[in-house]
Amino acid sequence: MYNKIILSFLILLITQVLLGQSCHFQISGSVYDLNTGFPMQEVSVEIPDIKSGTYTDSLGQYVINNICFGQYHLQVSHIGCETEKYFIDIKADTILDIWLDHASHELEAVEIDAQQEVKRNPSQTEIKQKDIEKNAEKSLTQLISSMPGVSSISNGNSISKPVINGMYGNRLSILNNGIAQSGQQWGNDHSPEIDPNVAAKIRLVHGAESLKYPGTNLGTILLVEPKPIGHDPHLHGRVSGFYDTNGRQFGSNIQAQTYNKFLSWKFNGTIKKGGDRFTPSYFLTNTGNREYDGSLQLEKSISDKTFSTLYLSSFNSQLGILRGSHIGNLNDLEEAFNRDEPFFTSEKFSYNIEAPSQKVNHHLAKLDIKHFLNVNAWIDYTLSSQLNERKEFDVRRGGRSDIPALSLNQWNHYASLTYNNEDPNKNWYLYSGLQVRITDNTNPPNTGILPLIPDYIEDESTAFLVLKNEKPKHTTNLGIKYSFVYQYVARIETGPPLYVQDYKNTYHNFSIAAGHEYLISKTKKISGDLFFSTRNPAINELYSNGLHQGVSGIELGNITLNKEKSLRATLGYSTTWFDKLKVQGQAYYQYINDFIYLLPSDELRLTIRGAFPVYQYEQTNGRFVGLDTKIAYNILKYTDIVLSGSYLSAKNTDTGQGLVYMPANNLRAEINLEYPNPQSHSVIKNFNFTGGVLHNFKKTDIDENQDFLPVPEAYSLLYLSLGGDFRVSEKTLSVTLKVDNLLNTKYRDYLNRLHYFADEMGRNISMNLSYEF
Amino acid sequence: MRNFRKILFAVLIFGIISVIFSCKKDDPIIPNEEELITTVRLKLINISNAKQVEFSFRDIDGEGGEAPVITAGILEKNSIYLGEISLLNEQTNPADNITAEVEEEGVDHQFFFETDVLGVSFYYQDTDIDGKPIGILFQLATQDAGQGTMTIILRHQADKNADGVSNGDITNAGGETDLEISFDLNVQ
Repeated sequence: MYNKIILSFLILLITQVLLGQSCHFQISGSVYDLNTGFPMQEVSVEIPDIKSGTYTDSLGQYVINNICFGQYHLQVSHIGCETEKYFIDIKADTILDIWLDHASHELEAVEIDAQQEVKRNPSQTEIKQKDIEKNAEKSLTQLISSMPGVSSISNGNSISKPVINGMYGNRLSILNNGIAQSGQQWGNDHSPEIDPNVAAKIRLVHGAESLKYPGTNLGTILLVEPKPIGHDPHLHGRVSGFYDTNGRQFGSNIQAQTYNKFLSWKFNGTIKKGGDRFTPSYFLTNTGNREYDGSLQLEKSISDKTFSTLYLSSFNSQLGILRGSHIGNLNDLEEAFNRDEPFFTSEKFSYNIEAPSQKVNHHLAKLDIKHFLNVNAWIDYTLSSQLNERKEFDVRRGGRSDIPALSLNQWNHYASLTYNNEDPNKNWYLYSGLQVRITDNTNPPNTGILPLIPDYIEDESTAFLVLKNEKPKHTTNLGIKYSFVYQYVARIETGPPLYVQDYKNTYHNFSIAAGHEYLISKTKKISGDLFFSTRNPAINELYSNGLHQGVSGIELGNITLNKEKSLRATLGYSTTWFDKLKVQGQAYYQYINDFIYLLPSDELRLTIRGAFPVYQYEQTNGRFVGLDTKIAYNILKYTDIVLSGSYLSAKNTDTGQGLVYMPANNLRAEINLEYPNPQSHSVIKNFNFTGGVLHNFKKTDIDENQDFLPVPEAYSLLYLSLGGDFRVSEKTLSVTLKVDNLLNTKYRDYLNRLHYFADEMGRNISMNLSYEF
Repeated sequence: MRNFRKILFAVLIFGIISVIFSCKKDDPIIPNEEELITTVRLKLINISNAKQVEFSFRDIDGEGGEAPVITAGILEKNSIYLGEISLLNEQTNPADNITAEVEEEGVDHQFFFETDVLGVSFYYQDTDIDGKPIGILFQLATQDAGQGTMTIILRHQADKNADGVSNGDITNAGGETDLEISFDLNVQ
């Protein structure tokens, strides 16, 4: 079953026995584990419309009798799996075999395709819908940082971006619904402007296959993927509400969708409001947040071969930054660091957001037209536009705190045309295409401050080809990509008098990758990838000029920078012993020649505001060696013990020092209990409990002269989660209670800029109610 | 064949979009840096002989660019000076007087004076509406001859009620530094 496309979760083998309007039809079949092919017992198979249902027996078989002629929803659920829903049309006795993906806790996972196909994909990690639902209050970065190899770089609780195997910002593309997120992604104090609640799945794609997606790619990309609407003509959706005790954040997420032959639609809306977070001993004054997001997905079949999707989304946030972290110069920073609690710490809780703060709006419109040439081949045409508006507010003199100190408007237009062929008879799958991207970045002049990032236009034209060969025991991936990049920059140069200087650059980027996966046996798999790619220097690396308040330093771009050349090799292994012990690991080695980084120079620049350290973008050679691993042991029925860990050594090979702003190593131990409660009509189902501890090691490879202040100590955090599904008039009400930092541990994290100023958040209890209709 | 025409059509649309490539960015409007302080002048008058001494710090191109130009005067020993600070933005013509802005927001601003020359001391000569010092006007007293440096710091949103702050001790002041400059101080 491994060699071919494994057919859908749902393979319908309809056997007609009888026709008529009677209520004597039967639905029967078997449920199998998609990964092992073994039958699965105690899987719930229900038809909520008529309150009928059953569980599979020890052979994985089920039978539901006395079904009337008509249309129904069939719901298949099993602990550890996504609940799957099918819309079925019963005209006769029906045999329905179901393959369930029973691998939600594994590194490797299976992709669900819109075209009712399931393919095995090498080298992926993912977060599934159930976990996204349970964590509706979290940001994208917070949500995915539990994945092995993923951490976050942040500026307080609400501003954070993901770091994957040491790659982030300019080196990591995040794709929202197939479109590379475009905004000010260079800074460590910029969050991706994506509401994770739109996603059915968030996953990492490594290796050759990732070359079919747009965006900068040094071996890994992050995909945020909404689900197609499906074919259910009824109105379905979910309303959820959540509350966090720490910061008193509350909010709601509403989702609704319906299928219609004329036009199908899906809506997703999220609102959040939070106030000052608190550490175990004091408030983090001015760390509130507001967020208002909405998205609309419209699907229409133009013909039986042509499908179109229009996706519109708007993300709007306002984020407070710890008041005590706003500093004038280097002396202020040292002074702030030596305090027990930050300056400006208020005794009282508040929802107010004052300067320093950020206001970010991001709007996306995407049109996608898929035209099937035959059952296996299609052309995809995508057009999209994004507008990113970022305003950063500082504490300013003369009543100017309401005027942004940094204001950037960025338009991004994208078009792609691809040809795809997935013919299962030929063993070869082919993905090829052209992509064009235009980015237009403008500083509105009303800030009264010289811009750090200049106005510019960047155009990119790309061609790619990805091939995949699947044989019974071997899968091979090959990919190649070429991009031509053109930059036109208009920078204000310091005078006096000030004047504008234009710069033009062109770059050629190449990527080539190959990967192979070998199934040693049904339970053992080994895979390897090689990935070579180049990345042209980004605008901020070339042309930034001025004081970067966020890092309290003067940042100087370097127009002599060359492209980065990266070679990444990965080796993955996974095995299962006696269906009890699962071991998975992925080791990687990445060498980046001409690695671009901010080098602190010996110079302290004297300004009227005092002395500031000067950072200049320079190039060196970077070496990344890492291992992400996960071991799960099924100790009792329904109970797993999971150990996972991430190790990364990132080294500047020219100096022998560690690279700064790289994640510390961590270990996680967890116990998971998931009890389906397989009595047919019990009120509470899918009871689940998780308790765990996360240990973050101290970074030891950073020398004293590489940072202003010493690196924070190691820390351990305990967390709990408790949840279940309640039956309320044939609908499901899911309840989740979570406790983070259970022991109210006082700690600081190296990758949070606020570690210079304040402790991390203390204990947080969050509640989440979700009602599905 | 129909498929072929469809592909051709799609390629054509794609081509048209690629051609509408923007390739030149309009020149940005240079912002008016109203908040910028380019120049600090310190005027000191010896109250016994009315002799005037001036210290100045000029960084016309703002943060970054050329290094600032610093000039320092010589003070007489065993003397009392009356001092006044003026802050200017000389990028505009005529120069903007930033001192007025500081004075207006007096409650949010305070100057601090530090020196390593023995016997030199500073006293505030002005107050904000809450009766707390600002430091635009100050008194400087010298005793013995000596050499060292004098640092002047302007803090924005300092906590003037914190311990010692009203007496010129910066330790508990907090806030952010709007200005921090040092001069060579020579008392003869």
